[in-house]
Amino acid sequence: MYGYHGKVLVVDLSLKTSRWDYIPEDIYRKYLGGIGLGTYLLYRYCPPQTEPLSEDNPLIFATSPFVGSRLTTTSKFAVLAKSPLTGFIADSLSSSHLADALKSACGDALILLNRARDFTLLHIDNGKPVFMDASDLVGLSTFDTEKSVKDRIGKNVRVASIGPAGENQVLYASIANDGGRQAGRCGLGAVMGFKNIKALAINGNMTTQIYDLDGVERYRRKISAKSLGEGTDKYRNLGTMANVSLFNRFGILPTKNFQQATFENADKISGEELFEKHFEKNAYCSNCTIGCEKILVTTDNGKKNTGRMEYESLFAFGPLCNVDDPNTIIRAARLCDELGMDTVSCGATIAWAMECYEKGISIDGQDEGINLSFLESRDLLKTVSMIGHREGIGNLLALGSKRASEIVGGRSDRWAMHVKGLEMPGYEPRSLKTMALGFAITPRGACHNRTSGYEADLSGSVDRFGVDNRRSEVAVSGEDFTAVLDSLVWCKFLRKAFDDFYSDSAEAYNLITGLDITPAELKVCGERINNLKKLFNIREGWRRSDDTLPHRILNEPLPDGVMPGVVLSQEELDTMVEGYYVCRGWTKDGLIPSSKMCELGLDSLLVN
Amino acid sequence: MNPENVPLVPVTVEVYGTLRLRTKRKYLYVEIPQVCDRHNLAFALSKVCPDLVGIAINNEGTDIKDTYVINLNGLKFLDGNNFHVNSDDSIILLSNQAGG
Repeated sequence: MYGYHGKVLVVDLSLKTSRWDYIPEDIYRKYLGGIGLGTYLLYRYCPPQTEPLSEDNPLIFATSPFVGSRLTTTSKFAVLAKSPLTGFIADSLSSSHLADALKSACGDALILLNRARDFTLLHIDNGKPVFMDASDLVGLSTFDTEKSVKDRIGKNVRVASIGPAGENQVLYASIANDGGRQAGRCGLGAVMGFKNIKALAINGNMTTQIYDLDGVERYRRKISAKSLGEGTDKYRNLGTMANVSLFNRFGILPTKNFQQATFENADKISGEELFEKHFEKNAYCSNCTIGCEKILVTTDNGKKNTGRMEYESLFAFGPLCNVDDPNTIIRAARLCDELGMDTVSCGATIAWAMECYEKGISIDGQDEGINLSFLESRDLLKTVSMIGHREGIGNLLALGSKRASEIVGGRSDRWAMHVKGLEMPGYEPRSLKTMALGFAITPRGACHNRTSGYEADLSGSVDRFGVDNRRSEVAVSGEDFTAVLDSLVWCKFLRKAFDDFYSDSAEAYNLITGLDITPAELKVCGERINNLKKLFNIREGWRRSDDTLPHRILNEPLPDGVMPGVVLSQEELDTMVEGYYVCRGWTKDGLIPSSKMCELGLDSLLVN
Repeated sequence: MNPENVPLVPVTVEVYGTLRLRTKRKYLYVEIPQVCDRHNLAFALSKVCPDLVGIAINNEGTDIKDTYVINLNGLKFLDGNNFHVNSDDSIILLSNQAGG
């Protein structure tokens, strides 16, 4: 087999044992790698109705055939489990050197089963697990953990770690690697924390053969050159921070917990402004020619702080919380990375609490001198820290906006801005209707990355304010495209560099694996992967009513922006969702008929 | 490129992101025919702001590059063929690399 090892490393944390499980070639051909392979493994290794924070929930790190090929942007891996935040599939991507280390030490995936007795540093040394006491690492930030692990084991290991948030099982805790990269969404750090794995240290020397080495080298040169062209210009220069000023102009910049879609001080925190006044350098993942990461530095009189910044962190701690001080936002994002928390869910949950404060609803723990007001940002950093350590009000906010609103009551669920429990990213769905549909139907909850719905809304290929029949097709094709992208795995920021995504990707896949897949087959892989994600959710209790949007989005007209008064009614959303089900070949209730499962080769999973 | 004897209307062109950094401008003011196309717009812009040539406008100054999208007043995306503008309109020139 080329491109793949044909096996995955399974480590039992309770028994301190390991084994290789062998994967048939047809599984790779069906699910590719990354998110696709990880979804297959999750379906197989996670027993039905598993409690997310229990021994039965596996934690899966899946690589792909492209890892190790040196093709630009392909040093990526997927992390999967059942999400403690949503109760559905958790699939997150991260990147850089750890991807290469995982593939050289763990085969095509690492699967962690059960739970270590105490906090453990798990060293995977070329396929062999070594269990080490991690009590000295407990309480350390992700950055300090990585450094300490390397000091202890050696500079040749690559590290994945959790911070205090993961240790404390904050439901949106992340897993960090390579100096601040994060598998951020859905609470995978909480799963790792529950398993008492403070850090993974990975090194190995296993290699996979490449089918056509010369061909891959030619392809590498070609795609690298394209990656430096106009199709990636935005990401190489301002990065995603560029969205702020444009989104504000278009009236799609969620502000004050989605109460508005424009932010009056957007200029103060725009990407252009941050780039001029706070930019320090670009950062690159391994094997990446784009370098989308912008490292910013604070400029006020406080302690100097340096951190990564991208749009979602900027939006979540900026307009969403009504904060217009760039230094505070840089510090909040950095603090989240240190504690190991998803910036989107963290900012959105704080914004929910701010609105509670605004509406006079008291929250337990608010009596500790914390002023959570949209008018006052001085306590933002303190609140982020309290969440990571689950202290005071942070203990409630660590649960995410959905659960916190259920506990607090007072109709605060009406401004808990989540889908399936996952907080919404920085796109206003009332004036981005394809994105609205994407948020509602995506298996992992409110996610912009798994549907790419904004792509259609912001290109003019559809009317972003309207609802029409084409919307469903656009959502399906965007979702399938993304599934292939996330499974091979290419970085999303490379997407405009392809002449024809499926043809170009099939060519690369075949040069590496020799499996002779066609572009059309690749497209079906995307469909299959999305169906399997849905199948997992159905198995775990998904209902039609889960494919919806927050109360505010469906009941409050947008008050500002270029089209004030624009609405998205329940009826309009239902029309789009039902159209999406039809396009998918599902029943009107959103279930997958057996004929569709047979068509996609998923029927064998049902037998098991 | 802009035909003679056709009445021109003044419009504002807003630039964002990389274009704003490279041109050091947020707004550009151009005069274009009331019934306009991407070629008229590119020609007018290349005269007012030559820095855009090679970035958002082709090297000949005759067309908006495919990697950029044109929007009218934040409301409507234009395909570049025969669009109608009024004197108080804003044309937004944005990268086709949406979101992130």
